[in-house]
Amino acid sequence: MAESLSSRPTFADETPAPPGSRVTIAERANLGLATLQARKGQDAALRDLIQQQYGVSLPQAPAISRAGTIAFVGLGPHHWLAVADGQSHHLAPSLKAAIGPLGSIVDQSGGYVVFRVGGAAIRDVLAKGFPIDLHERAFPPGAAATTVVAHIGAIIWRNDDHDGQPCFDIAVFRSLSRSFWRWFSDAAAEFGCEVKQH
Amino acid sequence: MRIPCPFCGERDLMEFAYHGDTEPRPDPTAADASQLFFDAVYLRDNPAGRHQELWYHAQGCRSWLVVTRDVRTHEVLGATLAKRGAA
Repeated sequence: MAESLSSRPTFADETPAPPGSRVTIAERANLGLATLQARKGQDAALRDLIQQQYGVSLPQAPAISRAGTIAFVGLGPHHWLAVADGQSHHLAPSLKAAIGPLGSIVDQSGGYVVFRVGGAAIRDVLAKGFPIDLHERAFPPGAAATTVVAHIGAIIWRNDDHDGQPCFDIAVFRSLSRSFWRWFSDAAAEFGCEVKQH
Repeated sequence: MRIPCPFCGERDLMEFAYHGDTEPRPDPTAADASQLFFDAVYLRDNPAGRHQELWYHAQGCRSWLVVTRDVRTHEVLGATLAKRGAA
């Protein structure tokens, strides 16, 4: 089988960071991604099963719930994005095997690129492109949103703070990830942007 | 204009696609379908004031919404998820 898209870092060879950078970005490679939709009338059964199998309570709002290396992001009513470290294309088949006929699973590991962004000035950068409020009060750790950034469809969620700085993950369609990267590089330039390897 | 999506919260108009009012479309297989469609398109009521409309949250949770809007002021008075039989 050909090398999977999600295991090949697309943005690994970018320019190194200037000293004193106040923004960081890293591509989360080898991430397992899959959308999960409850079949008609199976919401409660699916929630019970995910709770048993993964120890996660499926969020019923735009939020992220995590247990160990797997997390579920609420995208819409009856609709979630599963995110699992290091699982790449193995996530979708294992989810399918676990939930059977209660929901529909589609592998998105090659469909999205997920960027982890952070740093002291990260909110100032994101405010240039996101039309939603990402302030501490409106978007605490665990919050998520499906929206646009610089007119590119995006899913954003906030992780726990890292080194005392806010930390977000942003998923964009792989075919638009280069456009997102260009926007981010421009928007972050004034603060100094460090490209990290994840 | 901002629409209060029941799932996502208040969002900018650009995230949504407009689909028209919530009146059901005429039956295209009816014998007098062309007359029914003529009436629906050209002779429909278009009151100044509150309308109920279908909007699709294309750039958000991808839900269909029933939005109540005052067409004189563009004031949005509320939005609910559109479910079969609930609109």
